[in-house]
Amino acid sequence: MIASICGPTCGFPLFLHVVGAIVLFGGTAAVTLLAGVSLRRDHGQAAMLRRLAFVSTLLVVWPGWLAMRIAGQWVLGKYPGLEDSDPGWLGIGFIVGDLGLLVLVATTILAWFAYRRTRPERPRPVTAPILAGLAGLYLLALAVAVFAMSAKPGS
Amino acid sequence: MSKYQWLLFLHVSGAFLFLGGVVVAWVVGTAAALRERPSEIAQLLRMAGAAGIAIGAGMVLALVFGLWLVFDLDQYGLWDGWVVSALVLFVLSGALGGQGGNRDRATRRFAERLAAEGDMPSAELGARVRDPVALTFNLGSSVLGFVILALMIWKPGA
Repeated sequence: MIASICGPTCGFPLFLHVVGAIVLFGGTAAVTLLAGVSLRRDHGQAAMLRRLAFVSTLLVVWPGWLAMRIAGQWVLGKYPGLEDSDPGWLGIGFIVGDLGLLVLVATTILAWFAYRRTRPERPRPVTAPILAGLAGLYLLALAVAVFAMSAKPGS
Repeated sequence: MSKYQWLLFLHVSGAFLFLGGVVVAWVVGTAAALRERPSEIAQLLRMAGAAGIAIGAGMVLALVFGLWLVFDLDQYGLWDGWVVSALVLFVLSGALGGQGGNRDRATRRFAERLAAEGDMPSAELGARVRDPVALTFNLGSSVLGFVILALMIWKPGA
């Protein structure tokens, strides 16, 4: 995402950062889609979709976040002055990345409860729409981060 | 913001839509391959179809604004090796993804028909949803998408 400040010289760390961001973005989109569609399905399908949302959070979203965040710091390590100059676009990246950690913890817990509390008599537990909403909001925040990190407004 | 910043943002957004859609398609496609009930497989493959729309839209965005960037910037040219390689791989990725997507669509229609006829597990549906040919097409398309991303970052020869 910070391709235009270092380009090919960043090589593997930058590639890993971008791949991690894409996996995080796609994984969050998948969780949003699964949680959203589950709200309009009967008990059996809703439970299946919410279970998949929970598993996707663990197996796709978290690894994507880790790769994005660790590799992003690795790239920044090659440009020690950049963090000190505190450009706005980098601040947005940090906010979405680091506060995103809290959102991901909340999403994981919500996904677990949304799945476990889906019952034939209650196919739509209260945690299910909250999960869909939170994942959707985080997807929007990631889109803002993509804008900030690619266009670098103000730089 | 300058024109360059807007073009880069739209190009990168296209890449995220394309490859993010690939991630969504793999999540729901893999889940579909692990299910037995036709209604569940049909539901998951419908979501893969939605991801396919995002992939197509992302590919168009990435291509249009990527070419615009190449024509707009003096340091890059259409005939640079990494640009030509990316375009060739882009066409290949789209062709493979299209073939895989067609097979997945046929499987989804078959699953929908079985779901409407009693929703009982079927060996034929199981074989179709785990079709190694479709898997190869989809895997090839996805891997090429990430190879293009690597070309965009390393820009060999630039």
